[in-house]
Amino acid sequence: MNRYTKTGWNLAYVAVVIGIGYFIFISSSKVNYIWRWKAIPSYIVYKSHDAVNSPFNGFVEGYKNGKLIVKSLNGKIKRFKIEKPEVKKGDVVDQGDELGYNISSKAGPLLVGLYTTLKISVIAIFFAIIIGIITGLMRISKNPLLKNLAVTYIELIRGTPLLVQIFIFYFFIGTVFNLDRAVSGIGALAVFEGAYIAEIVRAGIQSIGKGQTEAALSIGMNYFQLMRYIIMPQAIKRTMPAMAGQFISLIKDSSLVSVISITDLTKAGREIVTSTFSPFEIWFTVAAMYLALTYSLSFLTQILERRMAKSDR
Amino acid sequence: MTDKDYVVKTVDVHKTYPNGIKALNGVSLNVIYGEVLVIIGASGSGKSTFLRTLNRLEEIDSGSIEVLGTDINCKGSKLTKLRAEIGMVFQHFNLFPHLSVMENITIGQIKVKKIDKQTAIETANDLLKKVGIYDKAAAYPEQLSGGQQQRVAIARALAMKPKLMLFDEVTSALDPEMVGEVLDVMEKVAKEGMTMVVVTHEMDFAKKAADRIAFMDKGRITEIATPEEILTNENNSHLRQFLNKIH
Repeated sequence: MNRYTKTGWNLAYVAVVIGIGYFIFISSSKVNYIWRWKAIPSYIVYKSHDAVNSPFNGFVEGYKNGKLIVKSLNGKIKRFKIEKPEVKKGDVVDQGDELGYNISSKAGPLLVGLYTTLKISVIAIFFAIIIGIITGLMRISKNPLLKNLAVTYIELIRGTPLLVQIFIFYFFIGTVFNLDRAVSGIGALAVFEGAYIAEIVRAGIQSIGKGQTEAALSIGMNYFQLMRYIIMPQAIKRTMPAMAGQFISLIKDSSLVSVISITDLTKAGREIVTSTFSPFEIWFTVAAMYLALTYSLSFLTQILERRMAKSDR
Repeated sequence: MTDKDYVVKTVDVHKTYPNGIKALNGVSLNVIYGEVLVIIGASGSGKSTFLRTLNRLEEIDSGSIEVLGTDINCKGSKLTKLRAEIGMVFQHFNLFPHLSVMENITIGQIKVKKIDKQTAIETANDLLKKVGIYDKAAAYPEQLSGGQQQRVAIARALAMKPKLMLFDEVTSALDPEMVGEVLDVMEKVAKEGMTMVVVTHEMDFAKKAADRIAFMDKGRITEIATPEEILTNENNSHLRQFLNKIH
């Protein structure tokens, strides 16, 4: 394909994307829907008015350099940092009266939800890796007990839907062991993704030639040293792309924990929709926020991969 | 001669692979300190399998193997300790690709023998000089030629200060022009008095360096004698055929 045909196809791509966008715009303008994009940013970050109240009875002495000076009845002078005062010099204030307010930027429910999603995902990834490495090693063990346990776990987890597992974790395991809903949610995610990571770990280890194991054993390494210094460093590098894909899956799958009332990004979105009746804008925004999260992760792993590739040329 | 003088003492070793192929069919053999034993034989005769049973990379079905006075059928730290005293060089080098040449040679010393890093590096440098690739310490295995990689592999094994070295067809995967440099290093090691068991097709090396040559045929050692006796043997028709074929 020469350069001009290539450019032509790229232009065609842009045209198709614009066409699809236009089609969506036309079809949505046919439904009786009032778009309220303006309200959306305030669900991400909003300006909060924090009232400052007088702690005592007294007079307002004046307002200087952003500070309100109040003198109490027994002569004590106190300064309050207030951006927007609502009283002026000479006013009498009683204890509890509002002197004015400060404006601050606060994270809106969507941003808080995003943070919860990130937190749940990071903790779940951490435990999923531990579970995955242990069961991955058990899976390739020659000991039938360890191997069968690993196979049973992997088959059970991969053969049932995550949503059902979350319910079982929350209603059954959570009740039996008296677990917090966040612990249930993170536990279910870690156990679910752990099974997939175990398979990735297994494939990674088995992709390292038998000669590496033999060479390591022949210089007297034990099983732990063999794995720690020889097999794992090579296997991890090889499985990086698959691992990154699994982490991205986990972030997306974490939206399911919203069903057990964990206020993650998805639950936050649902709550806002019920109060605003703007489902279109909210769900587009939620999708964009998930995309930002997953895209940053895949970008990070690409950098990491490139650096790792450099280290052994 | 007492048992203590033997580095390797095997009695009636049998091994059948899971697919039914009988690899070893009663191998009894002794190797004494300082001896260089070369094992020859057609492919499939069991010579590599036998070599690999000596540090238990291969399990045996029956018989007994004693190396450096220890039954090879031991477990745990006893086995790893024994393996650390047996150097092994492989056909396909098996260097650790994620480690530099220096790290390949020091990792066993540091992690297995718990030698401090500085001493390990000094040992490695001495060995790199000995095998003639002192300038490649910082390189990674894939930047080296096959001959250089195999010499690093020899250095890696020697770094553990082994009492026995096993060589498993170490020149078979090399381009012809690199065979010489590896054999030279092996001869050097042999001259220093190292006990060696060498599986090879290189008859020139066998003639020059071997104290004895063992001929393996269908999982048995059918002849074992000095190089001269082996090369002039007229009674063993299989040995005759084999020698004619590789010459």
